[in-house]
Amino acid sequence: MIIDIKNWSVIHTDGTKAITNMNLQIEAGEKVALVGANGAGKSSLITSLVGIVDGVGTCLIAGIELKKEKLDEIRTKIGVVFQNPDDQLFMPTIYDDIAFGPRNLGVDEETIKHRVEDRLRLLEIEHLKDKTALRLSGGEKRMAAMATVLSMKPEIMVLDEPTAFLDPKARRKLIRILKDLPHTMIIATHDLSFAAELCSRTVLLKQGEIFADGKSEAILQDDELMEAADVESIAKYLNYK
Amino acid sequence: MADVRSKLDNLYTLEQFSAGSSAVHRLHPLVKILVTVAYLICIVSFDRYTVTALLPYLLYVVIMLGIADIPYNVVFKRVLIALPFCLFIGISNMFFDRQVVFELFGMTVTAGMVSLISILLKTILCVSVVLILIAVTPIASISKQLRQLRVPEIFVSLLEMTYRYIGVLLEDAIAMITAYRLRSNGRKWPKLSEIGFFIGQLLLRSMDRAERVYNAMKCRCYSLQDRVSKQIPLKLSDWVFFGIGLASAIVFRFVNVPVLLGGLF
Repeated sequence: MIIDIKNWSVIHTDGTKAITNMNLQIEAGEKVALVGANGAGKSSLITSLVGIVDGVGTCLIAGIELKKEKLDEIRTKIGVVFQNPDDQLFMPTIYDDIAFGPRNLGVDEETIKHRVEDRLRLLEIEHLKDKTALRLSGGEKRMAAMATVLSMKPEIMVLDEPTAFLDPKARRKLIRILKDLPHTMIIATHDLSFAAELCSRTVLLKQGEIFADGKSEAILQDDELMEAADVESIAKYLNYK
Repeated sequence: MADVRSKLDNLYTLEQFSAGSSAVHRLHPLVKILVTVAYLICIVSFDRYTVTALLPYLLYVVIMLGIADIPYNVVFKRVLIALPFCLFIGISNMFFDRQVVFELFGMTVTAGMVSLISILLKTILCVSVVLILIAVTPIASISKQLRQLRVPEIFVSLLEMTYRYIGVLLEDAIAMITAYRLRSNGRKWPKLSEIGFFIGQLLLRSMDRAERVYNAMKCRCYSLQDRVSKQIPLKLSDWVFFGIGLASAIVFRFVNVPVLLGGLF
């Protein structure tokens, strides 16, 4: 089991309970979709897994207990791709952005160079190497942001709304690339067809608690269940789309 | 909205020139930084009434732009942005420093006028020299060399991020101006009474973004440690440029070349 969360609660500084006594276990290599209405606790869960917001309870990431003193170690195991790639791309060039994490880990420049080039090739963005993020398209920024995380060689990838800002072509490319990656993935998304296509398992959240957990095709197509969680079923979602 | 958008596009035009491959571009960034610093120190060290001795420094600007194949107007337009600030300081000298220095074609030239010209010239030279450095050296190479020179990491990181986020902040400002214009009944810019809210919103947005960026950095194990990478050795051409650049900066500082040349004829 690569993620083992027991009685996990997240309370924001203003007193709002974002996650309440959550229990969640994820096996290595699983691709899990986190689905829920706005405010259901998807982002809070994600950010608590890397210690950006504090949680109470037990959380084991790749066998390491989530504690303040273990955060650096945990952050090498779990990579987060944030919703807005502009938050993740802050160096003068894409190369430097991808090299940023390994440099912080003290990896030597020669290894970094190979690693960066490898990730650029993997995500099919070699041409962006020396460019500044400002002039990239939404799809290119998303790929570059993913490369910045992959260069840290994480075992787990957490993606927050990965299809935001993407056109259909870029979205298809993202699905193809994510499908080929062997990493354990937790994907918080409102894009239900994306979740259905990529993730074998879906965790449906409602008001900070797990409302349903199971196979994606079963959960996403269950109209009653989805509506009870304030989310539209995939059939309705696709009809509107 | 095109005028605002074009300003954003212009922001990185200068750095795009840094991807060139001229002899100046190929020089080691360290020597370019050191020569730039030498020029800046020499230029600002002149007293406020020096004009003729500053003129030879224009040679550096002309020669560097020529070799690097960078259009003069690209640099000149950006220099113009800095001029109003020093013009304001210089003009005040004209009122306070009225001592007559000489007469030119029957017109009295005061020390204040001379100092105004000196300030303008110094500004033009200093800004041009720095802009040339940016136009012939990628910002990533500059920051790398600053680390090699043991400039504290916090300053280098701030430089890198400020450079990157000027664009992002402008994107936010453009989005706000666009939204404003679509509902402002033909008005292009916020009224004076609205400027406060506008800037306040921009500040809040940038603080919010700063928080998110810092989180993203923490997720990639960021700490404010010195990150010095391997130094690339200097080539002969780098040493030659460094020697000529440094020597010329010092010679121009201590020898008034225009006066010397004038004395020959």
